[in-house]
Amino acid sequence: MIQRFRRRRSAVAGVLVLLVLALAGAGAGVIAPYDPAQQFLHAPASAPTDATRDPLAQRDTGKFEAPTRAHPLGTDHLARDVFSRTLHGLRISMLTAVVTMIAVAVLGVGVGLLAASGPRWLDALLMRGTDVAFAFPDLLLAILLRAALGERTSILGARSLLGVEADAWLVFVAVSATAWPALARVTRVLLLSLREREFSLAATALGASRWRVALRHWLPNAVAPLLVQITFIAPRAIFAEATLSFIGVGIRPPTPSLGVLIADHFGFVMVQWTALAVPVALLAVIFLAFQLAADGLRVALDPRS
Amino acid sequence: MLRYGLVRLGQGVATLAAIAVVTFALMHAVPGGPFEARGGDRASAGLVEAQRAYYGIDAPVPAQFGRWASHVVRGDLGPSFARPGRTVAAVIGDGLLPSTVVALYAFALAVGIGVPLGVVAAARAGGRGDAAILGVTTVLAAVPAFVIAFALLLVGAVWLGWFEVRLGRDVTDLALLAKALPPAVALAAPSTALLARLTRAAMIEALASDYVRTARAKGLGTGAVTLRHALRNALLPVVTVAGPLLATLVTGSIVVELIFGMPGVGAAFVAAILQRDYGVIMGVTLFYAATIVVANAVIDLIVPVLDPRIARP
Repeated sequence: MIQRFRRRRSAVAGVLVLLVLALAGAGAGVIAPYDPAQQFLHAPASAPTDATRDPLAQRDTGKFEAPTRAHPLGTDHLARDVFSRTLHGLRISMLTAVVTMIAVAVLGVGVGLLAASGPRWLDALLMRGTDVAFAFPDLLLAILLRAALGERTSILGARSLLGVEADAWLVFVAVSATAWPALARVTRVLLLSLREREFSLAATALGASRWRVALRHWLPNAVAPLLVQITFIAPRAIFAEATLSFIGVGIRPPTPSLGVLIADHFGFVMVQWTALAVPVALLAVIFLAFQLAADGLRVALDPRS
Repeated sequence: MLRYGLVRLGQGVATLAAIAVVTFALMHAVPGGPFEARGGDRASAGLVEAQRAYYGIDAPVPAQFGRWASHVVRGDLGPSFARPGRTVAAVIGDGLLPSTVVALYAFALAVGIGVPLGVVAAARAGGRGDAAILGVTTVLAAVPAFVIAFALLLVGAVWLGWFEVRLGRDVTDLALLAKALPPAVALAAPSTALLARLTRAAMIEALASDYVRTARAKGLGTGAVTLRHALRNALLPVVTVAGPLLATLVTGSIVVELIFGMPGVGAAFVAAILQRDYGVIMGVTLFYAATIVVANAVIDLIVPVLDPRIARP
């Protein structure tokens, strides 16, 4: 299986790109030359004239600086280092993917397992519940949920967890809550398709309990296709976070995420387009890399293709 | 067929009712009402109280839901909390023209380009043209409209100067068709790629089938075989994904309208969220959900016509 995956060059490239980006994000605190909130203001070179009221002329004050060796991607509208902010933004976006993937995997597979092996009424209840969630467009529900969760200043009694503020965790909650019904459905269907297979009939005939059959026989046989589904959650989570942050209900500035960076720099695109192009390009690369990796995984795990 | 249609209609209404209840519950779970935040310290307790009474949100929650439901049934969707004197239906109506134009444009682009592209790719399956189409569509299908909109903005508006960064509020004239092109292209790109890939896969399967071999054996030309025999059958799986596709067009339009500064329904929705205008938030959510439910119902009614084997109670 690993060999089949390695033979797909696009999939390997996708995984390598993701590894590099994940490392860059995880090491943002070490790699980034400056604190993401630090401002590099300095006095204008000349006395204020009419010309300095022009946003372009405000470069003199340390804002919108063009790329230099000190600031490889220049500075933004608040004279902060764009390169450092991008690295820290990458960290939050990658963290969104990881946290959401774990939460959705646990919740989705758990509910799917309960629906497939629990009593009939539980199955009906859980599936009608996911029906309603299904009728909602994912992104719309995430926006509404995030708005409904309100403002929080502490999470589990702390101001921040894993270096992420309480507010950002609410975004993770909103995104996870909208992504799990799809996985629960897939899990249920996959597990039910194994119910009539010889090995589960044999296990049941040997006196194994329903839960033992589900956990020891169904689940291991469904791991491969589920893994592919779970991989696809990551880009969706990053996309949802970026959209929420761009709209203004996601991660809140000054904490940078790729979505916050896009929202921050969008208004100044005519002054400094590079600051917008970098997070947009990063998002595109992340989506493509995840797609290639997940496609490779799907092909490698499916011996028929 | 009639019974199937009625069952489908009932399901659609039930789904909408469930969405209405969930949306209402979510919006009433929000800590802090719509008026407390806006006035800040300047709003006197009496003013907030008067506003709450005026909009009826001092009533018990079930009574509020009943009141809202009656507004929904009457079609005005209740009052907007942030725009005095306006109903939610009027707010949606304001943004309907640009939103509809962009959405229909995007849908036409996705179908008009995606399906032919898939047919061409399938006809050259394994060749260089197929590989090129497959490569481009892989990239476009993976990247959401959100990102493509920014890429388009950077290239078209900032570098080449083909159009303004903000397309502006003036959308009632004929220029709207030209103005709507950039957002429509951004919105359509992922769907176009997805349709092309689906059509390609379905066409390859159809072209390898027995009925196509029979048609060829009868001496029919390539065009007739491809379009009349293979494409007709290949379109069925393509039609069934039109529903989910429309959902992505609807949610995608929220952000795309915002990016290009179009005064559509999506822009009104985002403004309502930032202003805590719960009336508009609930109304627009229901409007979007209704659009998707109706479209899905139409698709479900079309499918049995295309393939009589699927017609079931």
